[in-house]
Amino acid sequence: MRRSRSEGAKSFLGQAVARYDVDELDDLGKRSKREDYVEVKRPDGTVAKARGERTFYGAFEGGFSAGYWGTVGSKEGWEPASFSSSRSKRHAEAALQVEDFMDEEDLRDHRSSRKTIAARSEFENSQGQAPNSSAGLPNGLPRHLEAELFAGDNRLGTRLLRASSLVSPLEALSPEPVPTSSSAKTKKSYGCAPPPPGYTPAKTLVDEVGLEWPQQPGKRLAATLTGPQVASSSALEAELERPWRSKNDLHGIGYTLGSRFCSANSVPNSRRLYMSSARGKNLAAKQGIGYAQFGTGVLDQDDYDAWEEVYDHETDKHAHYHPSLRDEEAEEEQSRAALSDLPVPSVPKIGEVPGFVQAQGPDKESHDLRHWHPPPVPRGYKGVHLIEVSPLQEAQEGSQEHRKLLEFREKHGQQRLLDPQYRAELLGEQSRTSKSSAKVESSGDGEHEAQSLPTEPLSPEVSVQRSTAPLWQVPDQHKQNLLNALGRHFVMGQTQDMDGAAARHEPFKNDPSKQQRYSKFCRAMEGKAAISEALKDLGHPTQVERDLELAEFGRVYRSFRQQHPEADIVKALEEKATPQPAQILQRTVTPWTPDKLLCRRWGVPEPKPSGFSDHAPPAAQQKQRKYNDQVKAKDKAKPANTSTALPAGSGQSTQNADPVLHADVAPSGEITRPPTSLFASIFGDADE
Amino acid sequence: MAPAEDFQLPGPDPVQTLNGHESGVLAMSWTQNGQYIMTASQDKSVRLWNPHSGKHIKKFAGCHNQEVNDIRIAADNSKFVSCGSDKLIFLWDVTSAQAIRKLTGHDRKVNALAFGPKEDVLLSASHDKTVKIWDLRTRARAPIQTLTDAVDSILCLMTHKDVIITGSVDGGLRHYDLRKGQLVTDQLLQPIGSISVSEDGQCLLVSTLDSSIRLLEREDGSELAAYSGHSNRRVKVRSSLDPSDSFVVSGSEDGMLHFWELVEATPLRRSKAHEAAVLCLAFHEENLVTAAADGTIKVWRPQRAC
Repeated sequence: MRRSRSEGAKSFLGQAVARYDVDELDDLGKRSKREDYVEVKRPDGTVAKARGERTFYGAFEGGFSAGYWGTVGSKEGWEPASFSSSRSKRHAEAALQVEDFMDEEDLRDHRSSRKTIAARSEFENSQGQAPNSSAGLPNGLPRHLEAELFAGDNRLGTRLLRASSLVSPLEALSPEPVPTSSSAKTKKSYGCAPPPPGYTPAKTLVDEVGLEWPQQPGKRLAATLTGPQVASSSALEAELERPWRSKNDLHGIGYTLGSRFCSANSVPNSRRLYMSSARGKNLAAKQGIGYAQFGTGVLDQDDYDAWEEVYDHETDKHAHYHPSLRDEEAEEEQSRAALSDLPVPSVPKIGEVPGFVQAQGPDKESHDLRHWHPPPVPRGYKGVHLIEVSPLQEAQEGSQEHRKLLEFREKHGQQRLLDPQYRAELLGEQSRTSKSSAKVESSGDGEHEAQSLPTEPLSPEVSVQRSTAPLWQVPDQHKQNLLNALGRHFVMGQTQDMDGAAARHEPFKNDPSKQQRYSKFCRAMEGKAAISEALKDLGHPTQVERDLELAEFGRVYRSFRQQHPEADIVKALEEKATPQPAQILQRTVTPWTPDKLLCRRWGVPEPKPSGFSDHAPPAAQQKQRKYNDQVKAKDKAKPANTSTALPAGSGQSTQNADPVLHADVAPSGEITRPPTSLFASIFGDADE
Repeated sequence: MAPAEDFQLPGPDPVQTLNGHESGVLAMSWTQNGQYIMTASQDKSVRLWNPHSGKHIKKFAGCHNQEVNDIRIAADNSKFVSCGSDKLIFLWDVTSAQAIRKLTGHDRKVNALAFGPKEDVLLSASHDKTVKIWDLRTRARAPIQTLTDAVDSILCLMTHKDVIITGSVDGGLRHYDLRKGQLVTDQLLQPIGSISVSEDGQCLLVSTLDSSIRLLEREDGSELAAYSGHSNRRVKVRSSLDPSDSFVVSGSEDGMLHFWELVEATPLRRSKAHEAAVLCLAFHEENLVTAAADGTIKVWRPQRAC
């Protein structure tokens, strides 16, 4: 409706001033830089084309962004929603103002007589210079004292003091006008709060001061400052440092009550406009904000405190409004009381400043203000109960294996869990370690004993040390032994045969002799070799070991067959025996057809599709060979003719005999390149 | 290809240092007569210099919206072409400093340019895995032909007689022979950042982004020599043979300039040339110009005993 001054100041401070006005740009023939491209923002805030490229942003334009950004507008896709018009609820949500109920005449009167609460000019200029900066403080406080008091001090209390003492010089010089009658109202001053109703100023220093003590609180302070009993400036400063009761609202100095929340209670009763008689009903039905009835504004509910819902403190209830903003009746009463009090001036103590009550103990309210109550939930809000379970928690609760592991850990401790042996046991794998190692030990084989030694815990410390180290830090030999002990074979990731079709079956790759024995075993199993051959060279002196290894081979073979019943295991074993060395530099030659225009521009003849060249495919080379043979045969047949014709000196006969221009066929029958001059004459290319 | 006895390595100190580019210099080219050089930079501009006097002559800017990746000067020195990361190719008039033609069609940034014979055609290699061949004789907007054999970005491009040679990030060194109508692909397995050809046209010097340079036989693709010691893993760093084909010179990402003997591949010299990565270098006769990622250009000349 109207633009406040603060808004103007904000826009002035916040926006950079352009060199030209936007409207002038067209006249000057310039375009602002922002118009050069449109930054397309996606709904999630990212910029689709940060560099300002052209964006085909639409569902049916086939552009880059024609995905969900262009269609349904969210990552998750289409979310069905029903549209409901707010037209019928419009009157309920409208925040009507007094002016909405006035006709033109009333409006004019209202505007002319309206006493809008606004800050005085002194308060607006709280950051700037005082209006009477040259004259010092109004009641004659010396300039140097003022400077000493307030220089560089920008705390709220100091600002408050400074603001409260800033009255216009004329006012300051002339004595306080005594109102002759109650009809002549004093000019309202909205500034620092007057003392609370129960406050009685101390009167100990009345005689010494000997001054008329005006009711204006700001002047009272000024008078205090100018009095002869004013202590030294440092003492006063110390007084000013005393803990005052903090502000209990959120408004700064110069706050105008233009906010729609505050307008309900701050307007005096006599100035309120009632459009309906439903006021009492509203008062009775106070539990909700009674906007629902047509023509009933918030102004009708005089007992309704808009702030009450927001901050339901008992202490804060009335403190959000400035104490000076009371009804006029109360003001009149107060002014009358002031008149009656006038002959008995009162001067506060040094330690007190009128208008303020000294705090009892630490500032409790300021402490409380840190914990504002949350704002009320909007009407019509339906809460959604969200169950937020972290993935970790979910994993812990949901996974059976994890629970099992946790149980195991509780039972046996962390060290046991990390031991692969126990882990295998936990996971339900039958450990063959103990059996095999026991057998090995019993057999007393030196080599295998050495291999199985690391897995056999010599002492608890050693086993813990070895088993807790991660597998990838364990040396290869140790790793192999570990895996052997676990009854598994180690398959490297790169050569892992996942489907059996890769022609790689090397379960014992790390032990070539064992792999060889295994391949023999497989051949025997497939019926490609005699069983005796497989059993012949096992390299184990003891029967126990042979049996063990054969059992292992049988297990591996059986598992491979179960997984890949169709795989040709013998072929897989054989093929692996002859690995192909990887070629680093490869050359491939493929036909390529340059464009006709490109050949013309380049100055080269268009290559023939079959490509009579050294690098032509074999079919083309055969064709070329055939062509060469034909040419040779013709040349052999021709010499008689040419020899007879040549002495006659006619070159035309050769041309007639062979229309194909192959003057480059040497007597030996080999094709040579045509002379350079021929190319030069055809293509004009000197380098041929 | 025997090393010429009279050709010397450039001196240890630069003869001229040209400052003016605000950002890294990505490409440079000598004019045909060896009087001037043109440099293309990340600061979206192309500059013309006199390397002998060290003077900056002209700045060509205003057309490219992003860095200028390559530049080629026409044989008559009256025009040049430039390509940039804004997917555009501009044909400029040198004297008026105005773009006289704009070629559009690439979907990604354009990495390299090359002229065909007689400058009737222009080839452009792009990050969109294609090489487009443009007709400069007519005002046709569409390219004559698009080569789509590469499977990754094409970083460098050159023409030699009837062969178009491209080097790609996919490791493919592709020779398109117009006369034979065939495409020969040498798979080097590493991104190719620079290709240059020897004077006799028999050998190719190819830089790959595994910090190695290879000298390859053009006919059969066999590797004749390999040069290493420099650092080249992230960006295009030019390598070149000197005009007498006696040594190989290459920049390095650590600001060094490396010289190798051509045949033996022994390092001849390794000196600090720039503070930033030496991105491009070019010989003209005995003058070597190097340019770095910090925007400085230095001119080197062999020290002659007077």
